[in-house]
Amino acid sequence: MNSTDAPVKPAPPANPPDPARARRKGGELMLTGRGGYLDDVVMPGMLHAAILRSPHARADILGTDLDAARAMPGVRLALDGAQLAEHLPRIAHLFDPAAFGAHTASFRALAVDRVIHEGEPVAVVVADTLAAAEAARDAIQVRYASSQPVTDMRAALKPASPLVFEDWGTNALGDFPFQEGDPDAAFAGAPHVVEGEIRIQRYNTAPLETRGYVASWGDDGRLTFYASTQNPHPLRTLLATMLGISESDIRVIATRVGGGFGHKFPGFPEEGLLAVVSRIVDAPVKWLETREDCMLVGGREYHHTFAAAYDDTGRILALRDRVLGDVGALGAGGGWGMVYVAGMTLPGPYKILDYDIRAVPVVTNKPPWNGAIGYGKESATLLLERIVELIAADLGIDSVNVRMVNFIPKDEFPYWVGAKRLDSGDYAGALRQLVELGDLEQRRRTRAERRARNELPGLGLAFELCPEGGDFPGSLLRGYDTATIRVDPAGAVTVLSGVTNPGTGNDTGIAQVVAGELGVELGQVTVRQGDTDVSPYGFGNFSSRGMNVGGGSALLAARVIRERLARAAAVLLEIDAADLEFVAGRIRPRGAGEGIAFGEVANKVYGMSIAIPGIDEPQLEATRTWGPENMLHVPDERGRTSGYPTFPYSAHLAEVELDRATGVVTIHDYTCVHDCGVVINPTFVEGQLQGSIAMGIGGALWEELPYDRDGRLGARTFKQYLTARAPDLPRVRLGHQVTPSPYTLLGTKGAGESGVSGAVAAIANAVNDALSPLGAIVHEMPLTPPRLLAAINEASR
Amino acid sequence: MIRTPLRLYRPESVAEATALLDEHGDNAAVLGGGTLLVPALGRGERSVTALIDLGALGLDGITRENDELVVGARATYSRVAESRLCRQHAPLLAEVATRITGGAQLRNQATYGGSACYANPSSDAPAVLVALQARLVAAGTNGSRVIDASAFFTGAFATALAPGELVTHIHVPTADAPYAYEKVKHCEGSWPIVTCTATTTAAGRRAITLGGVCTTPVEVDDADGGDLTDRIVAALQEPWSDALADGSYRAAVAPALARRVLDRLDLGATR
Repeated sequence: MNSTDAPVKPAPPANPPDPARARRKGGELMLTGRGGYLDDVVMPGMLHAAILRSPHARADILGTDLDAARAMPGVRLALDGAQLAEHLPRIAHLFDPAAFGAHTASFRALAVDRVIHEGEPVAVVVADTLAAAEAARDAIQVRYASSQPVTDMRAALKPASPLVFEDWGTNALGDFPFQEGDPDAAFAGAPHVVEGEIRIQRYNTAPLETRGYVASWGDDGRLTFYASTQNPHPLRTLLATMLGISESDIRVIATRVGGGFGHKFPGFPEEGLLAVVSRIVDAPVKWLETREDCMLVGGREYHHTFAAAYDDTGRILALRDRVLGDVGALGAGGGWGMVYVAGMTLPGPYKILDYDIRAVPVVTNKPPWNGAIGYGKESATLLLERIVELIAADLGIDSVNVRMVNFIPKDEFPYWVGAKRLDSGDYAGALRQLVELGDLEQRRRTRAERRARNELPGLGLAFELCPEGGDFPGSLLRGYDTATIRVDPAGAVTVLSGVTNPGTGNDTGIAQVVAGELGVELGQVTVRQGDTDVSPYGFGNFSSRGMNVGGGSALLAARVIRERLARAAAVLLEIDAADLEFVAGRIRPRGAGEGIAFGEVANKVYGMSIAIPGIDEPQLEATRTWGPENMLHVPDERGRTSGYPTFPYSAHLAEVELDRATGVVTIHDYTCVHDCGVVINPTFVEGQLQGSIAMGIGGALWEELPYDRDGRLGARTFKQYLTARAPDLPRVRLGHQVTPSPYTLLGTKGAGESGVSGAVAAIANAVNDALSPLGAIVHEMPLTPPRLLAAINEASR
Repeated sequence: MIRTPLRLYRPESVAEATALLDEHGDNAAVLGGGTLLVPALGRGERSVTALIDLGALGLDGITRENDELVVGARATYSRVAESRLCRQHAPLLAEVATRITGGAQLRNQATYGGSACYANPSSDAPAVLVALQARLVAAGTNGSRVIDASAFFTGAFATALAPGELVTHIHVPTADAPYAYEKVKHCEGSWPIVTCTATTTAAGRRAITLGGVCTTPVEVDDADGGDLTDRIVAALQEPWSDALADGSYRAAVAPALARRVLDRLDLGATR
């Protein structure tokens, strides 16, 4: 799809992007402390905000006393919820569940009358310095009457449970079914059935740079809002709604982001809050999320109750799963949708025709979820890959063969399964490549030798299907995007992109695509992202869309420019435009002659249009909108729709050792074969994989945000929340396969999330493999040493 | 953010430092490497109006006096690790210093002295100092006194320091007897959950010091024969629990770790 200008036919780029690994644009700025992150924003007269948060998970607010705070040095403003409500009654939803047929609630920036989760903002102080603001915040008195919170999602669904939102009559946000065929009949007739439960902990993404915003109102009444955000335009729309002003009176500038991962979707109370207090004090105000604040935002907490029916060959005949997700107190952000995706991703890469899945987001008195890379797919993948291993163990079959027997064959694409039309893939090929690259057979022999020595080695395989590019009509998270390209009189090229990048480098990739199309040096192309006054309306970054739709829309716009320049050059060179090529900064006859410098043609267009007959398109600016063809929202003849257009996948092999006496897991080796379709810049894709795998390893083994019965978080620093560090990780061996997407301009599928799901599952499988000689299985995450030692000791009884 | 106005003092003599500590009492904190104190102040967990910086007191050196090393309380882990004196005459001290979590940045700032005063049960320093039979010099306005390491650690985050006292030096007997050290932790970033030092006493016996298991280091001598595991279990009065591991886990791991460390000691390997 493209804009209302004359349609441009898709075709592979005339000059394929340089396959060499272009270095990151702006990398030298990042390395020399000139990266320009949110906290680098300093404005004249800027003040600082500190937020008082509820220490209780569930309480009535009996009264607040801000007098002492207001009297403290440097304080310009202190407000509680009732006072703020006069200026900002409600915050706006990014992804309102009501639009998807589920319950909803409305939320405030500062609580009034009651709080429903620990960390909920209750008051705000604005002062000359952050230290003064925090000191004054500490002087605010709030009286609470607390009550027993809801902290367990299964208990929350019992009839006797207190309700998080009284008017719902339930703590289930919704119930999303994914069903096909006749699973009851399949189960009834199946020779084997395996059942079980898997419990996945609450954890989050811990970006190195936490959130932050600076709000500033001009004398003209216009708001400038700096934000460490993934989605500047949607944020602008939310702010306009909340503030009751036009979007044209708001400029959002997304600063360089030091890690997004879904944590930085808008919909947080601090956004509207900061805009309002800045207007009240008539000065710029900055707010920074502390690491402790950041730990309060969670994700990924699920409970699966599953059953799988299978035959003697390991073929899965039917699948049942009820997956609950503890989304906390809902909030206005983009987190709850992950539960939908956890259900939607099933049955993954496997050809299972009869299934009954129900995905149930459950609200509790924990702080709300925001997005977390994996976005529910890591939950589905863990389930499927544990089922595969359970089946293999029961039948005494190699689990590689169980996967092979179940994979969707490569000649059956595009392949419809429930809510997805899978684009293309060679799953068996990727797994075969993994077996070879990871030297699986040799590792199995080594494992046997170690077992003979009474050690506990483990090998874990996993296959991850990763739906990407999600398009959610009815929301501001869409699957298409827009780019404007401008060429100036000297021939410098500027791309204004509606996508943003959270540090993943799609700006470099987009520049590579455009430079390739126009035949200019990479350094001649500038990519501008993140400023809503500069870029066309776009949806930012999420669901690995940046290179796909950012590159696709930029490529289409570049083609328009190219064709105009070709027509102008053809006049100047007195040859046919069809005989021209764009190479090495020149526009020249194909195969012969010097032609003209790119910049010179641009110059002529500006200076000599209309004066030279034939050069009559005096505009070197073009805007194009593009999204993959595989976004299908109008139900087909069988009532099917597919909101995810691209489906990268990967195969993983982890080799671990489990210490029988301590339960400590050491990772010795890790191999991953990955297919994200066409790769624009291998360095960035590999970087994404290394990082995602590290996150998956941490999530499988150590990371947890535990809540006690009072709904209080027990991990607030990196000494309790244990992410993987370099010495914990092996060097990951990476292989690639390329099955291009038939539905995207570049053949890309997106590489932003791949790896997390496969790593969680591979580690879980490796650890359970290590336990298998003892007859122990652990399906409760994370697989910490105390948990594993308990399982070892239990099995030895 | 550090949110109370505070004054940084940088005394140039121990007498001046102790006088300041006396004067400010609970409103003062001693600043060594700062790797624990400064983040705690930033998180608002501690609130003081005076910081007494030890940086100008010349307490960052390592010297030898007769059959002891004298390690300044302000000597960083890096300094200890690189010190030829330590590597030759107290190799256990040097080895453990290289294995403190946090990378070079942390080891260039943090100190044995500071860690001893923090007395986190789930850390390396307390048990190592006890195993080495170190003695800590505590200075106050009334003068200095020497405290045996085994008496210095009195409970979780509690030491024998009296109000107004600060640690200036750690005396470590030189030792060339074989030793072995191991610790168990969940992953790189984790505090040590259980540590075990095995040393050989002057009488030729093997002594085990366990850290991380109880609120203070636990010493077990293998002098009396009998089953090592039983003796260890008997010695663990009240296992320590924190966010990373329950006491039951620590108590379960300790005997196995001790056996492993003793095996290494018997083999004559220090790593």
